[in-house]
Amino acid sequence: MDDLERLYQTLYASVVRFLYRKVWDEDRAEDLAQEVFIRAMAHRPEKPRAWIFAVAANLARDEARAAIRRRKHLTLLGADPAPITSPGRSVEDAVERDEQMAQVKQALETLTPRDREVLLLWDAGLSYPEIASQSGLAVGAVGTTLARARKRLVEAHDRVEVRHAAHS
Amino acid sequence: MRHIPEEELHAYLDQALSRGQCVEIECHLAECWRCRRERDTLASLRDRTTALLGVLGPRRLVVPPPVDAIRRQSRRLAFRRSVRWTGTWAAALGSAVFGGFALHSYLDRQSPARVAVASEEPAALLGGAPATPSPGAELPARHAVAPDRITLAPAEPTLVATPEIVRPRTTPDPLEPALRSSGRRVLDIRSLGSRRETDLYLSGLWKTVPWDEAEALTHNLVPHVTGLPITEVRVQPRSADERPIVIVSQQHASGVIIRTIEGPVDEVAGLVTEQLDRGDGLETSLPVRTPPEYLGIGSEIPRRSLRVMTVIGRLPVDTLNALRERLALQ
Repeated sequence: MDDLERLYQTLYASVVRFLYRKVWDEDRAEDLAQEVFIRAMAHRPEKPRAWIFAVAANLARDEARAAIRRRKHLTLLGADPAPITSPGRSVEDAVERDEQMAQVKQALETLTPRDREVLLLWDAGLSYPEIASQSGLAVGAVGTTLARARKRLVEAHDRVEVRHAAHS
Repeated sequence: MRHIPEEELHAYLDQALSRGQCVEIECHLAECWRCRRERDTLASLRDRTTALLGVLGPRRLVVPPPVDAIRRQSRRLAFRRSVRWTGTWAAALGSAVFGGFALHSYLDRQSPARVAVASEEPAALLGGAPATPSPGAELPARHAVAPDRITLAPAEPTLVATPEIVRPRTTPDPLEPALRSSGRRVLDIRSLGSRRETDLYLSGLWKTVPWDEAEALTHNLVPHVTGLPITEVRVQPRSADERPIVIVSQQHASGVIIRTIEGPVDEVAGLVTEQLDRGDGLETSLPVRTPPEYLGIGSEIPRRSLRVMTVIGRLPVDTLNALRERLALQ
């Protein structure tokens, strides 16, 4: 098993999560993640981690464009079919989790595309230089962008929570 | 005391700083309660962000598919990519070869000896002035010596019988409406240009030669109408001590190609009759005598060969006779 295959085992879930936060479709996120690793193994990039996330972001962007073309794109708050997947979880847990997810999606939507991108890349485990090379920012600006994005996400989530509490 | 900037604290918490920077920050934090408080705030913000983003994940457990399947797919992709590249390169190579062949064929049809220059201004035709190259025109050095020879580029002698490719310019003449209203006859240059010049009907072996070679073959007696650009010179060699029959093609100011034929009387007469018999609008001027040749000098019966030259073309006879006055042997 070479380095890339080891990376596949360790990074696959992160890539699926990263893609899921962009396409909001589990199956599609898995398909795209597999496509990313197929390409990576065919291409053999020098810096595989950064390359994989860069390709994943591009595929997600293409997917979004295709979805718009098909007039089927999912809105951030558009509810996915909510299967009860994890064994041992009650229905109440699942409903609560879906509500939480909707709120975070809504909060994430309020960020600028760049802030969102940097935040998701950071959460996927990329280093500052890797985030910088992918987002086009200077390495020194990644910290500033992350600080702003975190603050805005939390503030937006608080607002959404307050609004949700007022409605219910 | 300088406090630690917020983004630097974020980088510190994300472990994105060098060891030296971390030590520096930790030293400062040990002394500064405000920065410690700021660090704690940012750490909780960071943790909360991580927790919020943690909610946004696939609901089901993500298990990577077997690596063999991915590897197999990647091999297929690599193969498809190599096939695509090979196909692209093959197509590009094929296009280049085909394009080169087509270009070569095209250039071959337009060999330099047969390419004519653009015709003169339409005003020259209307005014009847002899056509000459414009003074500012950039010409090769040899053209500066003999303005009549501006179009004859050196070329390998080739067998004849190719159609003319000369096309006159069809720029609308601003004087034309005024001339028409005044009742004067106006020659429509555009209609002349659209008429395709056909080659002469020539039998026997003819060669297209450059001007220098024509001069050498004819002992500097190449017939031509002065003041008109020359487009082609053809010769039909005769016996070793006899000058060849020469046909010099030139472009008239109207765009029509005229040809001056010089050679022994019988040959020229036969050639001209053959052309006129075709009945496609060709006319001929009256012939002009050229220096005779004395053949068989030193033998028992020397003889004199009379030679003439004449102008033929698709122009009125009067025009051809007027051109005859400008015939010269160089």
